[in-house]
Amino acid sequence: MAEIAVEVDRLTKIYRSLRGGVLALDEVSFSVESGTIFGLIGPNGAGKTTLVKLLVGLLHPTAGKAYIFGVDTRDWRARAYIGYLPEEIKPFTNMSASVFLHYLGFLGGFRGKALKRAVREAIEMSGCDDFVKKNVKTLSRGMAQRLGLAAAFLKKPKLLFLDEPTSGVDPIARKRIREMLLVLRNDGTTIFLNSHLLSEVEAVCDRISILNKGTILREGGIKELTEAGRGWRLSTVEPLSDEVLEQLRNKFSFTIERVNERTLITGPTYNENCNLIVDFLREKGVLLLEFRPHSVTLEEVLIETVEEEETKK
Amino acid sequence: MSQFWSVFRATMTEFWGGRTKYIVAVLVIGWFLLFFFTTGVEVEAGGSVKVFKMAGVRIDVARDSRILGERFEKGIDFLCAIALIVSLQFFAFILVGVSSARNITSTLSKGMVEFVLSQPIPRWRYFLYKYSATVTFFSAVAFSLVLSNWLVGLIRLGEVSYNFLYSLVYILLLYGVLIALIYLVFGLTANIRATTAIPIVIVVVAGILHSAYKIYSSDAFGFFEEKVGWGMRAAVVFYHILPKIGELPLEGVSAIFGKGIAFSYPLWSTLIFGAAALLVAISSLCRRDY
Repeated sequence: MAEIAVEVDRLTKIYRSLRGGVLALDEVSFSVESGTIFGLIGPNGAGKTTLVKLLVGLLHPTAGKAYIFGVDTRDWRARAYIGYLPEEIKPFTNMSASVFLHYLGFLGGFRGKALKRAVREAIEMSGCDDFVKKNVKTLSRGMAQRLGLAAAFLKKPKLLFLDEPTSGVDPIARKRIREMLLVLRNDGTTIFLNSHLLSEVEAVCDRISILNKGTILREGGIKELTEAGRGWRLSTVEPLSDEVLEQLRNKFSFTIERVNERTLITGPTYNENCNLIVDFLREKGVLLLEFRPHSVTLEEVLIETVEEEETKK
Repeated sequence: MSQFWSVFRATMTEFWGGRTKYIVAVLVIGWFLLFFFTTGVEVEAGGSVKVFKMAGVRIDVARDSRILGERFEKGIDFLCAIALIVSLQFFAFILVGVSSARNITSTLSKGMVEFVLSQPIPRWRYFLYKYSATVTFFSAVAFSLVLSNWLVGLIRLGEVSYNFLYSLVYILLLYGVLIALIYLVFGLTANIRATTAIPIVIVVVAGILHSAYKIYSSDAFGFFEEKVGWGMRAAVVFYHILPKIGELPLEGVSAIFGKGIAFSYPLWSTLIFGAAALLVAISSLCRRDY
């Protein structure tokens, strides 16, 4: 059984103020296996950044607990395992990018040659080579983001928390980051990704959670969420006649509908049923173009899940 | 210990990387300007020499109104020298306040604090190290001020002062309390502007009130009205309206714990005041959400 990198147990966060309290997280529980990329998605104000900040120890939980590789997040030792890229990067200091990384490296426990090596590797990995001597205050948004990534990679952490890692980054750098995440995952690093770019989450994540208004609505693997129970999509050279459709319905007792000249078949999707459908259609002389599992995008899953929840309330 | 050095080095880099170094340079040069203005002057024997030496080293002068109006044979008035010394102290003090507040708030501002506090170091330790580094930096600045001032006295008078170390410890204590106060305000308000403004406003207002009281209760005002010209009078007024920073910790303790404690045990009460402020500040900063 894989090691558990993150374990969250009924974690609750209420932001208190003089006007009252705002419930940001409501008894959230989940776990992340080591060596996987976990994505956290949800609309604005869902509580994603609050959850990440609780896990990296920047916020104190109101109730519940969270563990990083078995260490309570309230214990500073838990932070030895993590690298963190915050959503907003504004290193308001007079240091150069290189000194900034050395500073964080020192705090992270590196010394001497090990520190120099760690800084050099982090700079190379995140592509900060061209501005290491620049004052961090003068960096552009994209440069600051790359510096933030270098800071997160510095410790070669077992667990990386990335809050909007590709925000403000050009498409080429974004592709590079994506590739880097996959390389890190293959090296055994666990990655906790919080991103608005769902295509990105879909491309790299193994599992995701959908968070809305402080509650986890759905959780699962990408395929599981985008394909499960969604049936098969059938494309034919000519649109199927009503008669053939009716026979399909009666024979296989599936839900069968026509979507944009294609046919959507929903129901239990066993391979033998697929073969039977293909055999039936061939018997009827139907020319097939495509017959594959029907999937939706992660964006559609998110919208559908959130709207479903809103309707319930 | 090595984590202390990393926080210390980073704090030094931050201070020295900005405009602070130019202000420090101006302050240090200020003493030499003072020396330049009084070069070639034969100082009268007696009170003025003694007081000037005290002024140079202790940075806490002119309590003795008997010397008011005494002049060097040529060069600037003694009181102008005193006014310059006090103004240098004042600007050094403002520098300490503003720079410390900016340093603390910039490190703990959104977009930066996340990097620092996600490192494996207990929060209390980080804040304590940062406080120590800040005090050390400004003590080094104070040291250079005292040293240059001492050199002026040595060259000018041909004597070294015995109050040199006393001055250093005194300034260390003073800056320690001021920076603890800044931490306290940030710990309680979490507001950058308030952190810069509140401690400075507190000490300036306390200083002005204190000075106003002293002017009102002394005979200096009448003395100057009768005997000195407008330039001299302006210098004296300038001297009197600037907060006497040496008395500020005492003022703080007096305001909080009462005059009895403040004046009976000034050193200890000041230390306790600073330590309590620091303790509350660190505790508040540790419990805060970032």
